[in-house]
Amino acid sequence: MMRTANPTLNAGTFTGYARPYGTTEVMTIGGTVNKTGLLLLFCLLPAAWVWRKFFAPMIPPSFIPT
Amino acid sequence: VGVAEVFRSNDPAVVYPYLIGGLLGGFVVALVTVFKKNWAMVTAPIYALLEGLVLGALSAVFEARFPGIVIQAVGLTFGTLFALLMAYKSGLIKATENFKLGVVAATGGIALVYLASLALGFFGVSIPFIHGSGPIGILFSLFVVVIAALNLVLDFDFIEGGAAAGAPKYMEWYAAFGLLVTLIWLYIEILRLLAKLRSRR
Repeated sequence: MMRTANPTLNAGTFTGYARPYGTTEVMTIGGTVNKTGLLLLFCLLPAAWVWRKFFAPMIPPSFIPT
Repeated sequence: VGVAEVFRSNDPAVVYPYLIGGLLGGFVVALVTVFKKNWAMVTAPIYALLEGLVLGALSAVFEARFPGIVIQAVGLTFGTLFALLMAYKSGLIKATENFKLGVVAATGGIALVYLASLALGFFGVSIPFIHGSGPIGILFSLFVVVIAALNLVLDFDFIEGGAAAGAPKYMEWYAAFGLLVTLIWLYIEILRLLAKLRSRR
């Protein structure tokens, strides 16, 4: 911390306060990256499913033996 | 006609229900997420699943028309994401107030053009050139892709700001949701730009 003569801005100004949330309940960049990866995966699964439905091999009715 | 084509249906009607269902469902879930941010842990994954249906259907229809277009669009989307991430981390691009204002204004402008295009479409009127594959259509698409990409910087700034301010844990899901919305928009616009470029040949 920057040294200053101002008595209201000494090193102790920000100590003694509890954070409003516990350390495990605070947003982090790493946690957001992980969740973005998960969401991309959730997006990919149904996309691949619909894709396969579209490109699925189809047996023409005339090829089905009766 | 090759054998493979004979044996594949490639019928857009097969995937349209998923496209429409995913679009409508995704829109509702996105609205809920925006207004109930603390529900994001549940709503963001549901949104991702619904948008997956949309992207799967849309990608398949584009791929059938322009083979190889999807892998190009996916590559360009993630390439853009990582290029902008590096530009942001290195300080090359900074999310200043003016930058944010410009990107938000441009995004709003694009939204208005799309809304007008949709509304006029109900009356059978189409805005000339912007959806075509002529020079104006390509430039319009390119502009939209650039603005969509710059929205990523706003998302990075939001994530960094939230973490620095000690935002509650559920905001991780909300921020990831915001990033996903931008990435999906960017992907669709890149897909459309590539389709315009290819239909010129």
